[in-house]
Amino acid sequence: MAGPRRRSEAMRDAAFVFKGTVQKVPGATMASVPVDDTTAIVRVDQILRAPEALAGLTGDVITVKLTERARPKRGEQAIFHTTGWLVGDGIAVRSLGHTDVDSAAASRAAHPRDPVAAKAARDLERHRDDADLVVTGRVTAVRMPAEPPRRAATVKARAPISEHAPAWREAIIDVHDVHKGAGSPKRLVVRFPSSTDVRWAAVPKFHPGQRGVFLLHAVAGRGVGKTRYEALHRDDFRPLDPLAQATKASRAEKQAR
Amino acid sequence: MAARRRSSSARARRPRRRRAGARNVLIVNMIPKSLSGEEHQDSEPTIAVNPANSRQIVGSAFTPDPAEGPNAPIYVSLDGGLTWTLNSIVPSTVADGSATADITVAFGSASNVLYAGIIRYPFPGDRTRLNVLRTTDVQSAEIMQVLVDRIGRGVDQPYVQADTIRRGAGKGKDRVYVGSNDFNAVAGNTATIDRSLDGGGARPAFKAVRIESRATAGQDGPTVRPAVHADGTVYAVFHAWRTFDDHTGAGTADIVVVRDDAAATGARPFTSLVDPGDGKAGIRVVQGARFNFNGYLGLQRTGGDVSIAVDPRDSDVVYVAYNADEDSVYALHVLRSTDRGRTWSRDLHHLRDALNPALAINTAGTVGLLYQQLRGAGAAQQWVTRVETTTNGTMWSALTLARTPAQIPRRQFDPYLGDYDRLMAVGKDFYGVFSASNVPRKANFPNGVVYQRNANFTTSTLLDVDGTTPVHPSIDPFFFKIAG
Repeated sequence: MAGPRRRSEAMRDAAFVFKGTVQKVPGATMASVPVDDTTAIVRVDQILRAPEALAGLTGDVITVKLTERARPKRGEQAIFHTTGWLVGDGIAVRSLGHTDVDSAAASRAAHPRDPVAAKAARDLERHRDDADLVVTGRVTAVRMPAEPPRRAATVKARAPISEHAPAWREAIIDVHDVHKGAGSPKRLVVRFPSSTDVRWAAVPKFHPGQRGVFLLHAVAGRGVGKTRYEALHRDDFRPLDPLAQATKASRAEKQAR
Repeated sequence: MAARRRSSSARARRPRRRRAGARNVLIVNMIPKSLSGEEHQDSEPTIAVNPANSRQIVGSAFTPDPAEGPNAPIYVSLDGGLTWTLNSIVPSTVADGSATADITVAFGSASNVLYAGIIRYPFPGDRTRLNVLRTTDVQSAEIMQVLVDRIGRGVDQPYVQADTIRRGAGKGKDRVYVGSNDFNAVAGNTATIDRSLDGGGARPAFKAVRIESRATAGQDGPTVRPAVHADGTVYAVFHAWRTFDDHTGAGTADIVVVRDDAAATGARPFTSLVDPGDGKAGIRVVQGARFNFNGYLGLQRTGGDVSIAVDPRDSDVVYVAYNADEDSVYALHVLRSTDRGRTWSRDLHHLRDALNPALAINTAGTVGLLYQQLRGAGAAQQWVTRVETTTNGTMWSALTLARTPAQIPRRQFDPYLGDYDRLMAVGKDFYGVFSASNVPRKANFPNGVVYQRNANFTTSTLLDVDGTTPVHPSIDPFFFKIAG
């Protein structure tokens, strides 16, 4: 059983957060769910944060796997912080914890009108917090890595050939503004995968002329004091407007706290 | 006796073929009804039927967790494939949605334990991360247990098979074999089988066995496929790279079969077959098969497919399928050995521009071959997915599962259909899975199809959960069963 701190962290990570009313315990809405004391039928009263696939469940009854010690009882309304479990002829989710409907956490979560946008804004905010360097800039050139893999003169020298190979490229970025991170670089080199393999397809593919916000993560540099950056996440490059909107939404949410 | 080695450019006589008569065929689109709005490219499917309970079937594809949680889903059916549920219990997550970079699944033949070999997300740079997983309850909310977790220089295309010991010492234990291209191997001998002799045990030990005995082009290809017989015979076929051009992606490969007669329990596993040509372990069934790792057939990338199946009635009998570039054709070949892999037939079957071969043999000795063939041109181009069966290797009976548009939908990533699909046999029945365009049109499925997701076959339109909002076509996994 997770401790209070871990549970609290897990609840913050929850992708699907909703206000719901317990209809039946034990119970399940899907025939394939093994029913026991930890499974409950819960009516979704209001969705607060959701991935797109679960955003249309308001008014539906779903199965919730209750993992917390203090479980809500029949008729009780609560804010459920959940993650996915089963998707079939119905939906079942795993509860990471629940809070009272009138708790501070509930009031914080209750503001967004669009639960999908709320989740996207939360995810982007976290991604921005994780970034080492956030800059506005323009891609001026894309090139092969400065030190391409050597040919197969020696087996050990060549990078493995696999369908998942990233096919690295380097984007040269002229920096206009630094929003986060130390220093004020005028120009950056950012490594990114040009591969269209399933692993890399969603990662931004840079081309000259692109303008926007780059959320970059530092990797070990080859030279002393020279930091190198990679773009490996779908949100590592963002057009200006959505980021500004996310920032605005984030500020509004913080003010509401 | 037929020649042991053959040139990859050799042509066989066109095999006789007849259309299948009325057969008991079930084809099911595996996307659940509650995901009717999804438009993801759910390519590269596999399935595993539980031999101890054939109503329990697990599938996989490049389907991300719809709930955007930290675990990737498997498809689970408890009613023999009629309906499917996604269960997100595979520990693998990436920003684009929790899925895997590769996944295959297999049940122990009598243990009810499901094993999975995956490339787990995230992994650092180009160093792919192998996980071997298991669960004893495919419907449980418990995350699959990690048995092997390896990165090093990276591992590619884990392909898992398992067999439960039926009698004698070790009865009830699962022998698990995971083929992969393991870049941690020294000197480029990367074709590898990770094997455990007690996969269901408390702490199963896995040993990485390098099955490549010859000099390579720096490495082997990604396809390393084991096939297990209940008598302890274990075969594996792999795409043994001999030349490779880094710039063009073109190369040549040997199609090599190795065998172990004692379930790979000995000190020198997979060395039972020795090629008299060079005295090394592994018979070179074909030498110099050309491939291009950067190649495409339609929107599907190519690079050298292989498949293998052993006759459950007689472990002396083994079939191999492989692909080779021949002029402008991506040719699929099927060969057979009746002497435990020592000598091989000429082509029993030869198909033009067909890929994703998957072989299986049922308990009646009927051989099944699943493949996907590109036909036509332009807007009329189609992927034709078929199963052909034979009882003698010469007369093939064809069953068309799907004829789907080859340009709809657009490609979201590689692979478009998948670098593999799957066929297996339980008893006399064949079970399989393929990925294809999900445009709901009856003509696309001449032997019928069942959609769980909302679809209007009159207007050829997919519909969202609300039953009215149109949804764009995408690639979906299709389960099928052909009753024996």
